[in-house]
Amino acid sequence: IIFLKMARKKRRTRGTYNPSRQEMNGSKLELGRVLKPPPEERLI
Amino acid sequence: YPMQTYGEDSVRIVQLQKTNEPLGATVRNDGDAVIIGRIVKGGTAEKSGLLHEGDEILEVNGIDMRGKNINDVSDLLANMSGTITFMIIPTGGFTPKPSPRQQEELIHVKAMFNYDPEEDIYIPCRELGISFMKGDILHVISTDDANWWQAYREGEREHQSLAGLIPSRNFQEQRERNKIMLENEAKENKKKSQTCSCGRRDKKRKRKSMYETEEILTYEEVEIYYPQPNRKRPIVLIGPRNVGRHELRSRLMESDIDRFAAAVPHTSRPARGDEVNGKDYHFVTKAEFEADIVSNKFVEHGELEKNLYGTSLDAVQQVINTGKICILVLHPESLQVLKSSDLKPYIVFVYPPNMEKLRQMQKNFYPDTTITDDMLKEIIERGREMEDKYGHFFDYILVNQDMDRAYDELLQEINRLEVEPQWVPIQWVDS
Repeated sequence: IIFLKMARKKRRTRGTYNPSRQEMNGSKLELGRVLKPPPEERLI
Repeated sequence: YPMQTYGEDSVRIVQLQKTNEPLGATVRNDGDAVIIGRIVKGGTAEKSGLLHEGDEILEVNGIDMRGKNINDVSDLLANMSGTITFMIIPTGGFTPKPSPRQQEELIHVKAMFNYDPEEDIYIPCRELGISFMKGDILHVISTDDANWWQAYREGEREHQSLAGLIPSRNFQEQRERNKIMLENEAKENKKKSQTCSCGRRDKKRKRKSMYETEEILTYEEVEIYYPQPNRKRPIVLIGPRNVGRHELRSRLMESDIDRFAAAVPHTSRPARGDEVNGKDYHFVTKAEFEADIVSNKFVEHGELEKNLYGTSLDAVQQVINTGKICILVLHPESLQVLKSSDLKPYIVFVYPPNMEKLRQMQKNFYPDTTITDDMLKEIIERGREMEDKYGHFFDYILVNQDMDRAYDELLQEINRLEVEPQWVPIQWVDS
């Protein structure tokens, strides 16, 4: 159960990152921070 | 009924008709939640207007979605068709309805870099990624996401209802700038650990600043240009030495002297006996020639045995004015000058074939010369370098496997240019 929780937590922190809305908006930010892989999306 | 759990007001039931094709939306996980990541242009989801980015999907046809991994959600939906009932919590955030003007706005761009989504770790949805090559025309239909544009590749709209994802101009620029920065840092670190206190430092620093000003090639905006019968686009042949450019040019000119012409070059060399000024060359003094260089009148120029030779923009324009197609063989360095002129050149890159084909061609042309492998490798290598450095200028790549075939292909392309509309830099059409 602990393991599951940890996995979930990990996912949560990854999931909240939304580069398209918050960080970018055309502004020039330091790249090291901006260029993280975004949360994965799948097609439905 | 689970509705109560979320409060009746906040839950909405949405029904969509699905075929075997995807609905055209993406989902992402946010904790336990399954959230609509984006709506893709051209799909059922977009056309219905019922799903929005940020909506949480609670149920699909009565199946609970909370806690499900998006891979499973994707598989599940892939196997469904007919009426699909979604229970969603609409996005809390305000999503501005795009104005009709924005919706119609379509940007056409020419790609100036190669892109393969399979190798891109940053693409949010790999299955939507479209690959393209330098020179491909892309129709950008949505720039709503600052990082990832939705686009179709030229000619694929008919076969593909859903748009694809490409990196936005900003994103690509930032990524490249980042790459250059990291490379420079790596070099800097390497140097620090290597050098003693000798005077090499300044030299490297200079090189670094050179990299920083390097132009980052992303997309070039293009517009449709309709052929004009009395204003033929000059054909420019670019390529390594000995790849057959001069041969192609003379074959064209011999085939139809009323249709094709070369620009009359300038020279500072005195005219020889039977040479006619304005026909063989424009004969000018060295001082005149040098003044014209200073005032940027030349597409390119060079020196041979103390005499100056060059092709002027005016000379090309004169051919255009006669209604003929000007055929030019130029160095790739002159492409920038040509492109910023109003001559609307069509750039053909003549690319060397493999070693064996190239050997055969060279043998046909220079039967008395021994051709070494190194000579052939040199041509091929130079061709690669040119494509790498100047590839974004090229309109057409002609692989010269065989002179007759290459000639036919080139002629066919020139014929096409006279009847079909073409994509050209937007400045050429606006001005």
